[in-house]
Amino acid sequence: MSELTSERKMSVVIFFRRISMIAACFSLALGGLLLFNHSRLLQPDSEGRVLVVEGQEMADLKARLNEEPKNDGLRNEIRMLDQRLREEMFRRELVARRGGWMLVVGVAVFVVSMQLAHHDAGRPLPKLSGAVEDRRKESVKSGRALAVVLLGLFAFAAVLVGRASPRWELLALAEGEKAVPDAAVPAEDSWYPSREELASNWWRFRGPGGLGVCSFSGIPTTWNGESGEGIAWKTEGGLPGEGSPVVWGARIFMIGATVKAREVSCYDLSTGELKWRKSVSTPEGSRADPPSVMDMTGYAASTPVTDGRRVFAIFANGDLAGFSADGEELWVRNLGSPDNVYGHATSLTMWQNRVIVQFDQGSRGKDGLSSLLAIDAATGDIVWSTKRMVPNSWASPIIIDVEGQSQIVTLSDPWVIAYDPEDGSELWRVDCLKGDVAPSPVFANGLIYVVGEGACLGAIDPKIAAAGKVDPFVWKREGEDFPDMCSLLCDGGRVYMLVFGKLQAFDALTGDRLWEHNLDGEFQASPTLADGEFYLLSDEGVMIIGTADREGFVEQGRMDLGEDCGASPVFAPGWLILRSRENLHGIGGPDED
Amino acid sequence: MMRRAFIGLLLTLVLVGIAVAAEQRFPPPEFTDGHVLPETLTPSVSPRTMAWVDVALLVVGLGLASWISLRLRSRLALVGLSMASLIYFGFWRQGCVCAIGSVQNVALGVADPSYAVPLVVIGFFALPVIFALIWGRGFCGGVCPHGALQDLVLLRAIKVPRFLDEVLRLGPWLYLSLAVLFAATGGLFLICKFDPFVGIFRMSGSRSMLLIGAGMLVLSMFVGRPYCRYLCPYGALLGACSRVARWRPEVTPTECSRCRLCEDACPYGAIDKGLPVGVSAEPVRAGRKRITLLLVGLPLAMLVFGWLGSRVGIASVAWHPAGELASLLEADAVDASTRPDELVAFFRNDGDRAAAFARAAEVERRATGLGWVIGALFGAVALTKTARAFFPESSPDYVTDRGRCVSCARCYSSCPYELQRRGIPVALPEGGKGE
Repeated sequence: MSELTSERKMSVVIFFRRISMIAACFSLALGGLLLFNHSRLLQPDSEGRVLVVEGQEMADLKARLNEEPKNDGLRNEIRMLDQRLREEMFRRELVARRGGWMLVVGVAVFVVSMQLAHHDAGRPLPKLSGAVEDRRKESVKSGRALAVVLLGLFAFAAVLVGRASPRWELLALAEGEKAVPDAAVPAEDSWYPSREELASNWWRFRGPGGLGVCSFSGIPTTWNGESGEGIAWKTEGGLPGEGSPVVWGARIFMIGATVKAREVSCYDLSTGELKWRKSVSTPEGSRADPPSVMDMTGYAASTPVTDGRRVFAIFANGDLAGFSADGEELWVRNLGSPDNVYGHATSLTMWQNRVIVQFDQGSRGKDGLSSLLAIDAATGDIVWSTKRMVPNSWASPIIIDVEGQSQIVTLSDPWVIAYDPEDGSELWRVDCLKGDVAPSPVFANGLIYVVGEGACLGAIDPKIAAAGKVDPFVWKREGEDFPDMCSLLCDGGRVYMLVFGKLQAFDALTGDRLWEHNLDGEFQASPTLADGEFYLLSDEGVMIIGTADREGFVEQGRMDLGEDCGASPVFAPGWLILRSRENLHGIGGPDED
Repeated sequence: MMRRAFIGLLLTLVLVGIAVAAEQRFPPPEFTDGHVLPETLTPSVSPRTMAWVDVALLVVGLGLASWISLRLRSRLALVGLSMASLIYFGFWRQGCVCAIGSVQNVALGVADPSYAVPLVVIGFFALPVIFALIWGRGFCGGVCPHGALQDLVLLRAIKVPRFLDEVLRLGPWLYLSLAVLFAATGGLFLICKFDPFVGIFRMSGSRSMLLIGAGMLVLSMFVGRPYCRYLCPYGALLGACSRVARWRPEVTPTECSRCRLCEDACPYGAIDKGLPVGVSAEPVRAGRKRITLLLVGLPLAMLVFGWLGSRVGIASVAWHPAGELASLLEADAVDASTRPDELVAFFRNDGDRAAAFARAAEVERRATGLGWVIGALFGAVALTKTARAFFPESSPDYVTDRGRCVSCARCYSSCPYELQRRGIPVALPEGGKGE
């Protein structure tokens, strides 16, 4: 009986051992396969970084696409490869997941069967190991071993980190002691143009003050793009851009850019002759892969700014450059690749010898990515930088004068914020806007007129806003259609806005709606007023010229340039400059009579 | 009894089946316009609710583990509890929230008042400690999924020489010191980063992580609980707490007869060998010598290791985000031709180098201070262990080591009096005190 019992026990042990061997072989083989599958799932690229989906093939295709952005065949190839890689990845993930569970089961079977094979159920008590251990000897041995190891550990660690000493404190002190540009001390070249010079040139987006109001006379009112009548010259525009040109004296400055190149051009006002065209060099920090922008925005959507001696430009990749009027690159710097959903489009302005850059970015204001900067025009150094807790926006700032104090007025979601151009400190803010803020403000009658799609149209008194206790709006209209792109225009008596192809007029002091005139067109360019006449440029290149009063708008004529336009009109004494998508047009010129 | 249980189980299954089938009692109408009924989705339980369920189950598990190891004294029941814990806390909850990792959250919460430690994490940290203070390391024996995995795969334990075992048991304290230092400075959660088993629980991870986990598993088959004994930082804490436990597992249910049958019963070296029958007790001078060594050596050990800890603290800043940024800025000042993304983002924001260096300096100061404290504590523990190794506590009986016993109940079946208690007929040792 006992022999039978022993035989039976032995056969059980042999059975479980065989099970455990099979389970072990299965687990090892499966484990090896899973490791191989795992290694294929995570493929390192050429720089050793682990990429889950993409490999070198995808990276090469994307690099080619950067050089040929309009290659649709390449795009399709990338999409198909991407789909193939994703399917492969998901398949391998599924294999890894299921294989993992199978491995767990295999190992569990192995362990359980091994346990059962070694289970000593028939022998309830263990056997004695033999001689009694010499406890004293073991204690001394253990204690010595511990002591040696501790000493060794101390010695090893002392060699490794014993010489470590605090060093960041010294570096922090050294950085703090570096000379900080003192805003109160003027830069070596502190020249800036006079008020009169600024008033007599179209030196920034929408002209002096950003009002869109031209004080020059002799602005042409008739021309024909097809026949060339009235068009003094037409010249090729270089790299594309949606930004308007600027004019100072006899020079027109314009910028253009593609994903890979950026340039600034200078033309002669009288002849349209290209005086110079310079590529903007790549500054430190400028990324090789610029941010993606909407086709409608492009890489040169901002209007440059000039003080007559120099011209300054900003591009969608964050490059900011200063050139002399003769085309010498004075400085270039990169402000960082802006996180802007449509692409950076805010134009520059200047205050004294500083270039003012509204650099709003990010989808959430609380990320704190946006800033307002003042750049030294001579050196390109940052004079001051003020963080703005606002998301990306596209309206351009204006400089206003309130009781002798200059203020930079900026628009974004949800605030209108004014800053002191001396040091960038905030003066006041008003919460009134929302969503995508693109139309720029205008300042007239001592009021700041602002508009925002889905928000409001209103007039803010900056003196009341600065006091901060009372609603600063002199008047405010809400719940109507407001423009998403075109800036306002104010002739002192009325405020005008272009929305959905209609020109609307409101009383400048009360906000009462006066009239609405249907223009039957689409408008990206902001309305302008020159020599008492409205110049309203449609996207098709048709300029609608007319006059307006409290009663309504009277069209004087429609001049068709014959080319699509997006940039706002630019004026010089006797001249109208229009930038179409491909060319630059000079209309008017000296009166031959 | 069995029949009733079987009928009850059958009824339960039938009722569940009816409930499942009840969904189809009212079939949806047949739409003729091609409308497709959307698939019914059951929303998953809120993660916050599940976290509190985990805490509740932890309490239940701890209670059961303590009761099983101290009162029921059943290895089989403890194995069942371990498997349930492994499946739930390990594979189902994927090893997080983990009591072992909670040490870091608590350390950071203590060092940095702005860091709010979640209550659930505090629960995972404190509850096993509380149980250890009263009932011993039931968490290790029956609840911890890491311990359960190692315990369940153990096949045949190799006896680790005592001197080597003593040396290796420094590991958990060293690991604990480093983990607390790194976590308290806000740098790195070492325990989570280098957890060997979490890759197994989650069926995913880096290649190195999975290989280390597999290696540790293979090691666990032949060395009892290697992670628990020689690495687990939380185990070091629990071991220290269980030294003062009011109740703890004992090999024998009665008085020890010093029959020596349990000498090799513990695969984790957690049984303090007493004196065999017939051998008179040694003179007890070990305690005085131990105290003398501690009094003399403790200040020196704390000073020396405190200094070392401060240096380690300074070096640890290199793994802190502020330290990493400062290093990048320092290198950038020398060569700015290839600027990494972190610096591009940094200069896009305020780009204030002085502030960045100041932040790193602040972290450095905090790490230096913490390094002193943690290093000194490690020095004290190391010297205490050395003193105890040289002059161990002597007991005539064979008892479980207060700090090392993980309440796994493996040693019970080696005691003849335990077998007698279970009704298994065995010959009691001759001349034993238990007769």
